[in-house]
Amino acid sequence: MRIQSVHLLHYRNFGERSFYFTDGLQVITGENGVGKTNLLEAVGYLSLGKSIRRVPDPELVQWGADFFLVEGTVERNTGATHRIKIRYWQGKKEAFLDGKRVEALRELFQVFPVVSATPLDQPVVEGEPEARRSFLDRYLGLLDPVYAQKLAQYRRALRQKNALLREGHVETLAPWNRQLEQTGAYVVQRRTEMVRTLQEVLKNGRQVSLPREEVTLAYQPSLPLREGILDAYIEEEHERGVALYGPHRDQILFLYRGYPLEHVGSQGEKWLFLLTVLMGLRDLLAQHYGELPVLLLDEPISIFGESFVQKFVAGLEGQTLITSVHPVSIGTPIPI
Amino acid sequence: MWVPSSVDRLIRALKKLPGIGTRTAERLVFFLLRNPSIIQELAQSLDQAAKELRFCSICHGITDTDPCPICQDPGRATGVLAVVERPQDVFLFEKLGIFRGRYHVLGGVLSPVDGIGPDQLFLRDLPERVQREQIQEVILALNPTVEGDATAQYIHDLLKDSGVKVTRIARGLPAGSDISLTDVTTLKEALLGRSEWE
Repeated sequence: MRIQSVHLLHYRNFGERSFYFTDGLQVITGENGVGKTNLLEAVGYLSLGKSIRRVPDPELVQWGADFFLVEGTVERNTGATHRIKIRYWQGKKEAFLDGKRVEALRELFQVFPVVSATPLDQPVVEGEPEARRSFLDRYLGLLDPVYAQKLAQYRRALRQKNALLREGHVETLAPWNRQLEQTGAYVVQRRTEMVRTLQEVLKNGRQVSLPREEVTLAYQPSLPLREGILDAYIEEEHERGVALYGPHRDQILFLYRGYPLEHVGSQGEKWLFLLTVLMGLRDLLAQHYGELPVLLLDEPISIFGESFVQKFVAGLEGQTLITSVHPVSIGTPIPI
Repeated sequence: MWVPSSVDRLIRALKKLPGIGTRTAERLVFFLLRNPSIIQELAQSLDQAAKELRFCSICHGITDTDPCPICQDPGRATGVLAVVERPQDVFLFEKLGIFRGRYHVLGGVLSPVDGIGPDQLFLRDLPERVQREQIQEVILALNPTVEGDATAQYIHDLLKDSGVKVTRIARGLPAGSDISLTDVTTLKEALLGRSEWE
């Protein structure tokens, strides 16, 4: 799986630009502010249909323009190529695959899967439970559309329940609890499976950087979700005015040497941990799609140093795109 | 720009209707100006509807007599009650012509974020109605949304002790559709809710 070319029109700071890529490591270089990360983000946009930095679409439009267009050609291992085009105009986003409009943006990921890490993913390794859940949810939702739907239903029911708790109307909580238990059970089941599979992949996969026996992932539910169980906490939740139990409060533990990463890891080790998890995800997605996803890393050299990145990338299969403010002697330079 | 005040008033009134913007409203008004007989007909119908339309005090559907003809019809199967969200759902069922029971219109579904609780819906009188009319089966025909499902659950709990059978309409593939074009959740629901070949 690789990206061959990207054509941008009014995307971020780009008026109209085209970029071409080859196999292996692609290093997007240029001074600060020229748009290195924007190009990396645009490649991610072709896969996810949204910003890997979670920037809202209206902010991706070039200043003074009223639309943007991201187009790209991707090549699968079979040699087959696909054209992806995404247009955003007047609050409306339209995506096309080989000229045909796609119904769900998820279809793009199936043709062009990527995994990415940017400095904005730091909360994932800093122990923020919400960041870890949404990190996992992002990939689960792409792998399993039923998951995406159940999670959306869970969130909707949770919003309704919290509205009742805010108002103190606990006498009608029960039907919402049943909705949360039914949809939540699927969410917990899939997350648990995903964490277990990821752990397996990490154990059997190629060692990235940290000794693999020192990296453990675990899913810790806030309670054993089953029908009727949430009603036992109505009083406590009434007092606190907010829903306290369920998958929205579950923890995904990143354990380093058996301890929570956020307590024992140095800054460097935390990033290495994230990289390790990302490599596991990449292998897992490769098993699912039969193609190794393109890896996108924002400024890894400023975090890990050039010699580490060189060593790391040397052992990598597939295509990797990184940004770097310093000129480097490795990979294919993509100057902006 | 000068526009006769009655035309302006009419445009503004039409724009209050769902799905009608300025351009459509203007088009409708100028069409009406060329067809005065339709104006008369429309005016009379609107006037009559405003005077006669009301909600049935038993099923809470829309009617021009109270109780509504369905609630009054002795030929209707007594024992079966379909619970629906909106008055227009009744007309949908009636169009089918296969349901011969009676209805109970909730007037919406539970949605705490919109301030809609059981007291904002026609829910409180349901158990009493089930008992009074000796209903044997309550069919929940609500939309398969999170709110629809929670409301169905609420009604199920509400009627639990009354001994009445509570059922819900099946969910799954639309007739005439193509399996390959169906979203996976619907397909899954259809698979789980499969029935034996008869």
